[in-house]
Amino acid sequence: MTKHQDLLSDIYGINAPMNKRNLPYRITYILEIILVLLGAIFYRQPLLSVLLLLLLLLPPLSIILTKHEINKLSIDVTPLSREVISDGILNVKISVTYTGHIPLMNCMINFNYENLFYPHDIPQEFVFPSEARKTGEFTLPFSVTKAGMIQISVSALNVTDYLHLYTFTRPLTETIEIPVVPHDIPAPPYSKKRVAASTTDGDPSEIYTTGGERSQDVRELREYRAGDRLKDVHWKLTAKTDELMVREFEEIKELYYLIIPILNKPSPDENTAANDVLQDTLEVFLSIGKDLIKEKEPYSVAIFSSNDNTFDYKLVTTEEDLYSALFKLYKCPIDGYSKAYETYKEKFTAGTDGIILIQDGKLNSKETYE
Amino acid sequence: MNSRQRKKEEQNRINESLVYGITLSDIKKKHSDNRFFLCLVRAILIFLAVYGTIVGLVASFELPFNVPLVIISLAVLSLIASFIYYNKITFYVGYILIFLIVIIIAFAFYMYINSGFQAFLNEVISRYETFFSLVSGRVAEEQITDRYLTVTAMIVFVSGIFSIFFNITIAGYMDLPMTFIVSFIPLQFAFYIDIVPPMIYLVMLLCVYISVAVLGRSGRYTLPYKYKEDTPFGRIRKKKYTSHYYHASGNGMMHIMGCSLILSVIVMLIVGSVFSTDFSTRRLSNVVKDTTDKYVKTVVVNGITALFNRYDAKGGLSNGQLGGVRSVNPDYQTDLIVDYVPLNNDDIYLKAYTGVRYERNRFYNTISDNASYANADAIIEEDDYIPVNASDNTPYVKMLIENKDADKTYYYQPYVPIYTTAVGSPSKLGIAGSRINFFNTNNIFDRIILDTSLSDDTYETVYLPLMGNVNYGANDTAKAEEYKSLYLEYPDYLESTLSQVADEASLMTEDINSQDSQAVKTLTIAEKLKTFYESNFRYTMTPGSTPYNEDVIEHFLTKNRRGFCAHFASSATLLLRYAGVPARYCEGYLLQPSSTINNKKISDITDGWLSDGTSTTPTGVYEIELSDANAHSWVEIYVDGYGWIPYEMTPPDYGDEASTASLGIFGVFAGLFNPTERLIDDTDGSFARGLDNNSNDITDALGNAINDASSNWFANFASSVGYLLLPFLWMIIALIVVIAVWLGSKRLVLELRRRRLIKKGQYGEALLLEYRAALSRWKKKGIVKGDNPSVRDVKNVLANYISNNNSIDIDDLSCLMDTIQKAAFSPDDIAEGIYTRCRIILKEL
Repeated sequence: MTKHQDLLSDIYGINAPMNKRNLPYRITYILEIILVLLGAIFYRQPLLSVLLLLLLLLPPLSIILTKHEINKLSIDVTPLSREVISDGILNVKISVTYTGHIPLMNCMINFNYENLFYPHDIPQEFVFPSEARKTGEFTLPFSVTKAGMIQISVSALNVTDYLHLYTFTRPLTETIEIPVVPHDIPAPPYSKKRVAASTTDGDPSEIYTTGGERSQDVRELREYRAGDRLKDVHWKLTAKTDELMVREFEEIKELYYLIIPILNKPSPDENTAANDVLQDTLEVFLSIGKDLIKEKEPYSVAIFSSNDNTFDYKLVTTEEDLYSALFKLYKCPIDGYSKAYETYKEKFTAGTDGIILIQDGKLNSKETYE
Repeated sequence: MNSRQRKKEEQNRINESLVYGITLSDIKKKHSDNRFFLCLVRAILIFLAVYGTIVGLVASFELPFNVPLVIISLAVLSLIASFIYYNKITFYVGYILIFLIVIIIAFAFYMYINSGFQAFLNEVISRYETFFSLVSGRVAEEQITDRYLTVTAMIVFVSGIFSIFFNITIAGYMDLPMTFIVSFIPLQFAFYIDIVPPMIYLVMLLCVYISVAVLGRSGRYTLPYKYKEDTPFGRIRKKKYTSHYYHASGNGMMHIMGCSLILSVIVMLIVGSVFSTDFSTRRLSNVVKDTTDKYVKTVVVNGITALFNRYDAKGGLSNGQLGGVRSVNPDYQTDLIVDYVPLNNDDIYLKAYTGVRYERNRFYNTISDNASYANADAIIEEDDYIPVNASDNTPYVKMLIENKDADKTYYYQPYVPIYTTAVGSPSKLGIAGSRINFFNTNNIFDRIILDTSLSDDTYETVYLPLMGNVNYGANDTAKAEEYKSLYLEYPDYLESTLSQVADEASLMTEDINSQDSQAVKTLTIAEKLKTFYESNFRYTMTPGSTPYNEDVIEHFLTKNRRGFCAHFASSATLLLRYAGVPARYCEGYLLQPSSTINNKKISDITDGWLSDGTSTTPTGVYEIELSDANAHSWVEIYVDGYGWIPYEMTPPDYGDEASTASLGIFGVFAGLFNPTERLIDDTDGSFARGLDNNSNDITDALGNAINDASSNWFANFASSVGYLLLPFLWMIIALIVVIAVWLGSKRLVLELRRRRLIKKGQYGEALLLEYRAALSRWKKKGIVKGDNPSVRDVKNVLANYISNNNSIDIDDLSCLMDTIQKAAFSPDDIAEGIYTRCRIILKEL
């Protein structure tokens, strides 16, 4: 966009690319005016001159009115469900509230919808009328077939004047995200051994201290710090020392399971739409996750960030935790093969007990890969 | 969307969901528009269009009709028409049904509808006759004379047909040009002759035009009647984007229609002056208008069939053929080149063809079917050159004629009429001389001198200019007397017509002073006829054609009364014969030294070009080119003692149809920009220009048009389209007033509100009010940006602004903005003094 167009856009809200589409309308309008003008000059009819006057009067009126009325429009986008199961319907409501008295017949919302795992770059337009002093409610029914995070973003509101000569644009930044949960499948058989592994830097606590249940053994007595629970206060000692003392308990180092889902998106040749290994990975992950919760086994999920090639660990004890981890996983960008496995190999050298590695929809042990 | 498109769309969605994991189905609306309502809105538009057009037209001719019945019928028809688009079934069945209904109505009420039509046409024709001052039009027979009934039936029937048309243009396409044309054409019956329908109908039409323009262009009017299911949304997939769109909005359409109605009322109130009774298109004319006039008049007088029975003549000689010519379009190619010494401005006739016997649309130059004149050709030949006495010193002028493109059958013999157009007693008309067979009497030249150095088509001849000081003698000839009766014959079937017109023109000899000589009587009759033509007939090059089975002269004399030289000369010939004056019809060229274009001097030396005895000093030898446009026909009458003299019966061209001259490209444009006159009666004397020109030669008009146009075409153009500017002027004034009132009222309201708040002691509120007004001013100036800037933001921006302008102290600004912020939270805490100070700072800002 040139500087001039920027200026136009800033001051008048005129969207130059959108206005290119009005060109045929402008040309036909000018031709109509020329024809009527010729008729009025050479055929000499008062009715023609009135029509000519009308044709000249309407464009400024139409444009000024539209410019004035556009400020009376407000758009609201809300999903009708917080999440949706794969192969389900996701309904999104668009409410258009218009407080003006003259209907705006040609309003247009620019929006886009995509599953973040499968970027969709074809812009969408929704053209609708805004009726006077009414709230129009439109439901956009999306059929979702693949798990992932659905992002629906509304980028602009365009209002074209009544004669289709000018389009005014108001930028919008409404974005909503709705997760799509994979299908429920029975969990495949996996190793029931708990973790006995250590990391390369010899600090296995890195993965175990992310949380755990406390034992009854008091590790130390110390002064109160903000955030300490009241029931941990050692009242007797407090009374003696005149300082608020709390007990700090030993944490039980349980042996956990560690699930490492490796999200790969192979090229379309290997990864057909009908046989999507990414979707299989997510399904297997969810089924094992649910199975472990059912068996009351706490576990961690290693979420790989391809930005800095590190794992982020999320302790899961309930289904809520599981979904939270899954949705966090949804937001990890994927571009072809993930480096998660290489990172895992470097990090976990001691053994594979308790590590559930899910890749390309299958369960894998470290050895298998080697 | 048809089934194929639907299948494709389904496939697209499957592909999309496979690749992207998400696809968007048809959008749904909470309160979907009712198809019935959509059809109803369209029905209202159709009703307004049909009512405004058809009923408006009938009302403008002040014909009586049953208003409630018409309204109900039109409402029903409009509903039926608009509901054709309700769904697929109604669409395919609806049109057949409505056609059947119209046909049944037509059959059932045939007599009423037909009589209604006739009543309407009679009224229209009578108004057109008045407008164009036509002598006679047609009157159709109304079998049922109760116009209240018949006109109502006719309106309902015609509205049925027009509701279908409007249904296509409005419900089908929502297209302004199409809708306008459908309404504009019938309304031309009235508008063409400056009859304006009552304002209510114009408002209806204007409302339809605005609604259709706005709805058609802004979209959201389509009713997807071909869909099985009720899908208010459609989808277009393009390479760069996918568009989901809403088909129609009933509420929106209704609102737009309401707004259009208000706007059309306002517009009509403002520009109503255009249609006021003072306004008249009568004098606003040009080539287009005149050409249309020509056809309109033909139809009014002769009916529509007259349009199909016609052809154009190229111009030039027609050898006595009169019928079938609807207009003459000269080709402007040079037919004859004449070199001679003009001694005065008299018109010179170059005679070629002599018509003797008239039969059905043609003057024949023979009388071969008449046994008693078996030697007719010879008679005419000799008769052409009846010798009259001339003295030896009668001056003559040599004329060199080159035939370029004229009919080579003839020699074009020059002679001049013996009279002038000055009105006066026949005895003073200068019957002192006549054409003289100079060749026979003086033997100076041969009749045709063929110079061997010249080509076959070039010859020399002489003519005698009519000079006041020349004493022409007069000589009777026995020969002429002998054949005089030959030139008194006319067809029997025309007798009643001739009798009627001769009576009307008082041509009969009993009306003429019996004491006069025969020559004076003859010329008196001719003069009377000429005057009669001038006052009752009209010159035009486009008279319209004569219907089949009608005689040209009869049609011309009794019905049309418009025509060109051939009509006048031919009819005059027969009328004069009926009145007892021997007459014959002549064709040739008319040489007008004063006005013929391409008039150039070829030599100053006139020796050998004229005889001695001419009193006028010759200025030189001139060359004049004659074209088809100079072709002419006239009458020769036999005057006792003087022989055959040419007599001009064609009245002057008043220039009202000068457009026919504008055949060249420039001529057409000159004609368009140069207003011409359409009126027959010259009430304000503005036709004086045409009266001076005693010519039927259209080259004059062409010359005038070109001169006018080239000299000041813009002024002419501006004056001719001046009427267009009036509504624009009104509209601009109205807009200025509206804007001024709007701005003024805005300030006034603000001031009143401020005063009220101060009166109540609410200084904080008053300050906020002024701050908001100032904020909108700053926004307009571009100092402050954004929709709802905070006070702090504004303060920063203003601080930056005043640091550049240095007119206000920064502390004052801080004080002001702090006070405003304080006023926003607790307006009651602002005291009067603080308010006054802040107000001053605000004003300074």
